[in-house]
Amino acid sequence: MRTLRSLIILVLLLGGPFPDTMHTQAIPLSPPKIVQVCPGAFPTDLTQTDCRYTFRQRTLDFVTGSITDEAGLGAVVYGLGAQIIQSPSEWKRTWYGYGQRVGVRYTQAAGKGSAQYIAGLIFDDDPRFLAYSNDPGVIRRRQKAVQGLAAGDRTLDQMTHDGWQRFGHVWYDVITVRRSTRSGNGHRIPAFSRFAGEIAGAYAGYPWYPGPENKLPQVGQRVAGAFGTAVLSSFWTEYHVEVTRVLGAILHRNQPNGVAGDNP
Amino acid sequence: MKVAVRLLLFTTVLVLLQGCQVPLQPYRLQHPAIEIPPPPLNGPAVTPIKSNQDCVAARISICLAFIELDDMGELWDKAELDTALRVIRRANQDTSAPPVVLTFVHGWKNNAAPDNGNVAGFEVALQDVYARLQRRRPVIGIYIGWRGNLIRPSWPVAQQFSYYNREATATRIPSASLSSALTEIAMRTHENRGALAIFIGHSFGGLLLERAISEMTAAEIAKATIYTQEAAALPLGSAEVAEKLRLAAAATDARADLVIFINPAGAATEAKPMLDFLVTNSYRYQPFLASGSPTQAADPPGPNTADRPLFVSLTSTADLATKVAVPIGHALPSLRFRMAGSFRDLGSGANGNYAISCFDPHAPHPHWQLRTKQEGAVPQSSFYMNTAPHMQLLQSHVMLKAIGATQMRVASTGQKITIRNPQAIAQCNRNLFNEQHLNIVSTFRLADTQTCFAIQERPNRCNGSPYWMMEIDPDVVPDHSTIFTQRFIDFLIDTFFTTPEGTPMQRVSPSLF
Repeated sequence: MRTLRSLIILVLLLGGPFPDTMHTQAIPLSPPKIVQVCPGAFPTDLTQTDCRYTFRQRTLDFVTGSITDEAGLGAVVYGLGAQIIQSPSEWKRTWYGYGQRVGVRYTQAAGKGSAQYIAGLIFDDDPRFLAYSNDPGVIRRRQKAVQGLAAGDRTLDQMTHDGWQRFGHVWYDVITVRRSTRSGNGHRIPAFSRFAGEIAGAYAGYPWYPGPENKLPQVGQRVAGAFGTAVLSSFWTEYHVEVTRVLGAILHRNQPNGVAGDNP
Repeated sequence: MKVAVRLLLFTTVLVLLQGCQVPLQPYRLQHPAIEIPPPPLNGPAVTPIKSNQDCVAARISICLAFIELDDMGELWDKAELDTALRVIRRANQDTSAPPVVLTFVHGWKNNAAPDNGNVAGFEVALQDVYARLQRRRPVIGIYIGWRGNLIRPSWPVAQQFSYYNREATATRIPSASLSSALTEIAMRTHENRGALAIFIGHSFGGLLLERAISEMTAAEIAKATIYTQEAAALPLGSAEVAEKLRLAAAATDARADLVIFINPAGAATEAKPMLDFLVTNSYRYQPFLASGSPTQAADPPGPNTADRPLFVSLTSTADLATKVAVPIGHALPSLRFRMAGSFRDLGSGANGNYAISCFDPHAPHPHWQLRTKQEGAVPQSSFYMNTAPHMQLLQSHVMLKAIGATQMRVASTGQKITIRNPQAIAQCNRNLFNEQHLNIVSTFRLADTQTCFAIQERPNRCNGSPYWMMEIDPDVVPDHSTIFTQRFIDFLIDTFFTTPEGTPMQRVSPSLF
């Protein structure tokens, strides 16, 4: 009953005091124009059209990774691991020993970050990792492949998402970086800044480590360890979707399906 | 000596910690409303937009005004609000092109600083909306700034620990200052009858916005209802009827036409009272379609075509911040509530007999209650532990994504639905979907991939009120923060502002009934 009355009132409202509203002309909507976004950004992200690795972003990454709490947290956590396995063996498993382990890791992070920051500035590189499918070079090749694709060929997807190519790209992305450009399509150069960072980080521990830890093979091991971290980051960039999917399937394997979407 | 060294160390740490804090300050007092250039006709938009050009001219395509609040919820300077209202009034002067006024409340880790990501995102979003409206309607953005960012980004770990502090601030800020500002924005906008006032809150901004507007919106709806009922009881054509209707229209104009919460980080307990208010009063909202209008006449049969939301709460299924972090963050306070016996339970007992009221105007029996777990009810504590759109019980709609020529997948559950007519997906046509009685409310395509999506009334839903809630596909919103995308804006425009014929809906009958 109330609904009926309300409807009557609505009709009165529309016909009475505000006649202009009925005559507002409907304007058709414009079809959206697709924006080009930076490699790896979410498609059509309006805030991701300038892909330069800016001075501000580089400085922020340096400060968080090498100076402030993130660097400190990394040192505390990895230092704890070293404490558990007592590495190096010369440092005892005491609070003092733990302090040394944390301190050396923090110093290494600062050394690594500083070298990478300076070298990065010199070369104006963009060290952010990219998944294979987002790499502008790969996309360019895909476009060429589309043009040359003949009936009966393998599909484009098979041609460009080959497992080994992805695996190879992980390593390629570690040893090379892109030049920082607005389109994100800068040409590849060797990752001098990354190499400089790993080496500087390994040597930054010199004043802390006991003598036997400062021989070339040991320093080399530290460089390799730091390089391994970069490889892991690159792997994560490439395979995080699959990893998340597997983890999700494991975590939710016992959960029942919801009722939403039941076919009526 | 040792004491001196320790003192020095302590002082250094203190100075460092102090330096990591973002100061409490306004950012926009010098330029409270800036002109945003229209996007270029050809070629990509340029971001970030560097503009300090004040909005002074009467005819401005896009203008962005700022209103800033401090940690206690007071306006930094009322002049900012006055400027925003002046901008709206100027835009309203052209009645042939009613403006669209979008008020945005940002969330955690953001503020109104010129280099803030949300400011930049909102600017380009305004440009995109303007372009989609054929560059004919002025678009006014109002950015509600607060100190969402307590710790500088250079301290990312400490920043995470500001969660409780900023949640408390987002809860504290909504007060008379903000509520009255939002009311004034809505009223000033509706001085032009065709203008649209839309409020948007993201993350903690959703919590803040919901707290700020719930009370006043419910009050205005109630007032409008009472005046309308009183007018209906009076003899037609009398002066008293006209006066009552004028008061009802004024109450309606004092609230937004649509409120959108995106990945809201507030507990569902924030949304529940408003939902209950709408449900128990059986409110329906059909603001854009006049009875007997050509648009409605062209709709397929079915009662669901004209019902629109007054509130929309959207969350991405991939939003871990609201799906995982909010329940973790609320675990400890929840314990405190439990110990104080603040939650009501299902079943009998001291705090028992908690029931959920359901309402669906399209169901054969529009009202019913859920009282037991078997019926799908949950205790009150569940509402505190989850955000509203993540709760299946509260979801009014589901998003379907085409994953094949004849298959759609439900975003929230992953369940697959077979579509009998492949043309429905090929044309992404709501009417063809509804031939299968799917109760599809709207459809849209992603402009870049052409993937077809559909919004379906959730089968057997409890919430059929004008407070829509749904989980959305990661293809539309991929995570908690990536919201300023063409895909998401297109989804909002196509779903909430477009007729099935593809024209923008007009504000015709904004009263709830």
